[in-house]
Amino acid sequence: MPDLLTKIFYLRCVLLIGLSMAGAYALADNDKDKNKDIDKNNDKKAERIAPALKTLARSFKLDSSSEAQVILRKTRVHIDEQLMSHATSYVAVYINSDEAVRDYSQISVSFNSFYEDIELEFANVRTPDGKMDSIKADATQIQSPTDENFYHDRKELLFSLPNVRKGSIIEFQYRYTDTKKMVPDQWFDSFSFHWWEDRAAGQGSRADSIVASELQIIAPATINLISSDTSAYPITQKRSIKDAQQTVTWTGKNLAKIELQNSMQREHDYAPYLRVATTAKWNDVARWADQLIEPHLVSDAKLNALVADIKKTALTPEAKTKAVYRAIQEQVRYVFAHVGRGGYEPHDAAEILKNGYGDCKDQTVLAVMLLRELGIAADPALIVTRGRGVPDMRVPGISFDHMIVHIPAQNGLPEIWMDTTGETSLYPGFSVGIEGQPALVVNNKTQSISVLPSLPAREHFAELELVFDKFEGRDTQASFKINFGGLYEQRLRSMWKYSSERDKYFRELIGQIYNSAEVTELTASNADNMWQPFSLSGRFSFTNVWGGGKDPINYSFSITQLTNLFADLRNLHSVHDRKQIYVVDPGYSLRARIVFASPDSDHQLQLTTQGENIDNAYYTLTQSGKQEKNRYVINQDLTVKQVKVPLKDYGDFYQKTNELIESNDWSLSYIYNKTAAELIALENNGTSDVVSLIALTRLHIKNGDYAKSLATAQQAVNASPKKAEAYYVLGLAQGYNQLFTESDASFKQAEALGYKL
Amino acid sequence: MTLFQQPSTTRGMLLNAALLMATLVLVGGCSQQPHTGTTTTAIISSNTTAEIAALEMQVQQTPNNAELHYKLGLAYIVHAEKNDSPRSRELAIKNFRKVLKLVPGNIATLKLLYNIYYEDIVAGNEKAFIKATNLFNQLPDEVQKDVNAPSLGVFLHRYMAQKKSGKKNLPELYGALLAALREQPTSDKAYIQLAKMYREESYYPLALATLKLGAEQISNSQELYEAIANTYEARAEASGCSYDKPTYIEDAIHFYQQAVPLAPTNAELHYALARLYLDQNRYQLALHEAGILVDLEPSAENIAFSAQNYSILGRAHTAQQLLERAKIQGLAASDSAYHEIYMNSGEWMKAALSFTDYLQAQQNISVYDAIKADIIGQQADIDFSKLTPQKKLVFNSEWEAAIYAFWTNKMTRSQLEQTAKNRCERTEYFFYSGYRDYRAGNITAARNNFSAALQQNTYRFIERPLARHFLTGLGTK
Repeated sequence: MPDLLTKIFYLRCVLLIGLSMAGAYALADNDKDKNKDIDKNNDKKAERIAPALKTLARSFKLDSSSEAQVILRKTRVHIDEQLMSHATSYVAVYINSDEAVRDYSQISVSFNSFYEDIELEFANVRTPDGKMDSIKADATQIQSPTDENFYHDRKELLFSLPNVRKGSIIEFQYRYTDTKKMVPDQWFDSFSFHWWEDRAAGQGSRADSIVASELQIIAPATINLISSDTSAYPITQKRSIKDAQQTVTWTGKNLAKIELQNSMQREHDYAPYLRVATTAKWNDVARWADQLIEPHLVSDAKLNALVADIKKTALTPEAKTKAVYRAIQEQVRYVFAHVGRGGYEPHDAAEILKNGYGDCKDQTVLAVMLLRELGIAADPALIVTRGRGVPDMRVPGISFDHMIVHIPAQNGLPEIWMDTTGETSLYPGFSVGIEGQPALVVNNKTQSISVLPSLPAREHFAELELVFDKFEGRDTQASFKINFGGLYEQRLRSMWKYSSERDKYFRELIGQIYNSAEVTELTASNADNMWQPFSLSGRFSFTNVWGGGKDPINYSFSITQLTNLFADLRNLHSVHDRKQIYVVDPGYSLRARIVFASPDSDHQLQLTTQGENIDNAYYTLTQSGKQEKNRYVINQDLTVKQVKVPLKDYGDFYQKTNELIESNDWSLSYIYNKTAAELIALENNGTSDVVSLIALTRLHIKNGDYAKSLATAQQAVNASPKKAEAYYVLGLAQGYNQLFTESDASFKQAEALGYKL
Repeated sequence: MTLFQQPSTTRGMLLNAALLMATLVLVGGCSQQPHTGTTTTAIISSNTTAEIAALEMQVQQTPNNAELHYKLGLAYIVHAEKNDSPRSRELAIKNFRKVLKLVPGNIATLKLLYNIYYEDIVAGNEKAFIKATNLFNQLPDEVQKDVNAPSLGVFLHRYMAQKKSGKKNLPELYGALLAALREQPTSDKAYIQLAKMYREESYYPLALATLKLGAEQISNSQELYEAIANTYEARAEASGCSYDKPTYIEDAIHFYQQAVPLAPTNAELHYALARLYLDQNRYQLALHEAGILVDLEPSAENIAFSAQNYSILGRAHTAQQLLERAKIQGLAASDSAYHEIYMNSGEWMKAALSFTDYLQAQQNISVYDAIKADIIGQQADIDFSKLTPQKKLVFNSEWEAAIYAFWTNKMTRSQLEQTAKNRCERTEYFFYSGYRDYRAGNITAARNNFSAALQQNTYRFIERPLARHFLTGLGTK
């Protein structure tokens, strides 16, 4: 996904902390020790779930080419009869590079403090010379993440390990303990077989190769555990029952390192994950969410008044839906403020309207309330946004991070997925961040996961119209207008609204289309209009680009001037470096109409290069050029198709992308043409004397315009039937128009009249 | 007999052939090493595969090195030519394109790439036309002159395709050439080829006007002036007898003279001038031009040509000296110069011997050869009647048929007289009538007819020195 596109996936709502890709594990603890203090130094106080580190260190085969190897990743989960759980996780990592030293020196484990506690049981480092060093007292803390401005319950356990060096082995064990049930009567969770470690300085995550990874769930034998299919990976599963307790163990051996790369697939199948639940029915989740929301669909006088107001002017279902969207956009500011609420339970609809703020579930509840009051069926819908990828939804779970409104098709109204959280987003606020993502419509009847619709590539577009329209001295100017649709509309509108120095920023941004030009005027349209798409217009100023007068003026334009700004095709991994499937999703379209004007009528077009058409599995580029009076117009239409490129085809994709980037530019010149200038002068002087007509005929022939030469030669002969030269040029013109008999006769006449031939 | 001494076939090369050769040169040109301006000359070894592998490795290490891409492109094009490999050709194009990305407008690369696409056009690849045109338009004017316009490639392709299929479509060829004129108005090639085609269809004024249009654009093209002169000559000949169109001869001389300063070492021009001056009876100038011709190109044929000129003018001694020199130079015994020079000087036995050599070398014989056989046979008292019937007799015109009919008594003298329409034909009518009178012993009539033949002033006709020879033999009245 291009950089600009990835930025678009920022969404306003983070519903639930849930399970992160780093493998955070939220489990309840009924029978565990109650020591809430983190034991920093003495691992003997905690039950060690792994063999001794010395044993582990001897048991694995060092891979000298790896930066780090996870020797063991082990988690043991205990579930009790009330479906509360506690989980102990152990990790041991061999550090084999300076990069790994940096990344593994500080470990972070996130958790939701509303539902669970966490404690670090021990953390040690075995130095290359075999000495053991334990975590220091001041090196551990629980902290709230500082990267978001939301008031929420997500926290992280952060600890730093001493003396981590190349050749060290680190080990740590921590315990999650459930303190509250999120979903009564059910238990859900997911598990990553890799250990996902944040890279230093916020440079993403890493998942090193694993020697052994194990998940063990111990639960009463009466509980039915549903788990996802891991047969695509080297994972084995065993189940045993002893003393009315079932033990299910999943074990993975020698799992390869996972390299995260940009433009990967959203599905989580690039790494082995496991989802486990006590139900196979999504209806159980839908009903749980419904019972959380329904009690908050309450009205008051203010809300009733708003409904009454809307009813006065909005008569159709469409008008009512739009009015609700408008009302929330205008009256409810987006704020996330749910400390101590766990993440899924909204405020009352009436309270939200009264307060004038709310997060995604608040706004959704209010919208659903208003819509239902207006007679329109609507439900909340839980969404997994693109930022979370697409988990395996075949096993139910609570991995949603957003809520929007689902309005089923009814009374002439098509199905609508409405998201009110984007400030002044184009109605109905359906953004690329949720496009094609899983959704759970929240009502008692819902049985399965829905998939949100995807817009076709043509609806995600940037469309440039550029007209060179002013020439002054050595300078020229061009007006431009850029229309946006889909993801570009959403992103550019958002950037316009939230950029601190937006004028400067946008001038620089748009200036990238022509690096040699300055954006001298810039205007945004519809930035605050939720019904019309955002667009930009302005002027480019090019200085000292031609000599003026009779000097030629040179123009060029390439589709890469758009792709460089609106896509990111130049930074692909080389074929050798690409390790993951490459995904373009959604597809998008970049279009341009460029009008190159002649500085005056004496300059004639010389087309130097023409852009090519391309059509392959990944791109369709259609280009055309047309000469019009005193100008040349090119049209470009590039569709970057929605594709999932398997690794085996990446070389082809890479090559085709390079071919696109390196395809021909359009380049043309308007060159002062003496013949053309004379021609125009002759044509414009309106004289019809034989001398002018003969000169005109000669000029037409010189320009290769033989049809015109025939007409003017005939006029010359008609104007002066005794003029030998008139017959001569007529003979030429006739000859070049394949009228050979007539040509011979005209030449004979010319000679007869004394023309020396 | 030979109306005009014809230029040897190795002379006037057809422009078509020249263009084809140019194409071949262009193909070969792709494997040469023009300078990029950014690179030193690449040396492509015969082991192009190894060269390519080495260059590919270097390119991987420094992917933005234009010089390496250029060398690699050259290596691939050499490989493509050697192995007829479309893949190598594609890779050559890719590398040259890369050079142009790195060094936009690099002329050597533009030219190379253009030549590759031009070759594709000639081969009938329609898509190549736009690509070639794009590149052609990027070439500076002075470089454009070094290559053929894209539409010339189209012309060549159509020309060859028509030739292969046997389906002639002249408008299609004219169209391509007119397009080439538009693309490259300052190159003489399309003007010359178009005029040549018009000339072949006898559109002489149009051919001349086309060439003069070219001369208005290009004032320094020897080929253009030569083509104009050629066309005037052809136009004069097309009238049936160029001696009846002296102004065309004058025009031809004028344009050959225009061409000479532009190509002072071009022997062809002096050969033409020698012929034309002789036609005008400006024999001193003719001999001078023939002398320059021999100086520039002392070939056996050119020396023999000079010898024949002297022979026609009655300077038998010089003619025979030159003939000996031509013989030393390798003039074939079967060359017509031998017997014609001997005939002109009345050395009939020598003429008979060399005519025998000549006849034996001919597959077909003309009417004039048949008549020569009779005259030489009668004069040398040698019978060629066993030799000539073995050869196929070829008639090139109605006039030749009439001459032969008269010679074989199937047409009367007065019928032949009525058939003769111009000075050339009348020269022959008077000579052959005179010879018949001469053989019949009708001396006065023979003398009158030989004199009348001379009075036609068809200076390059062999009948003229023969008439003079027989007249001399008959003595004055």
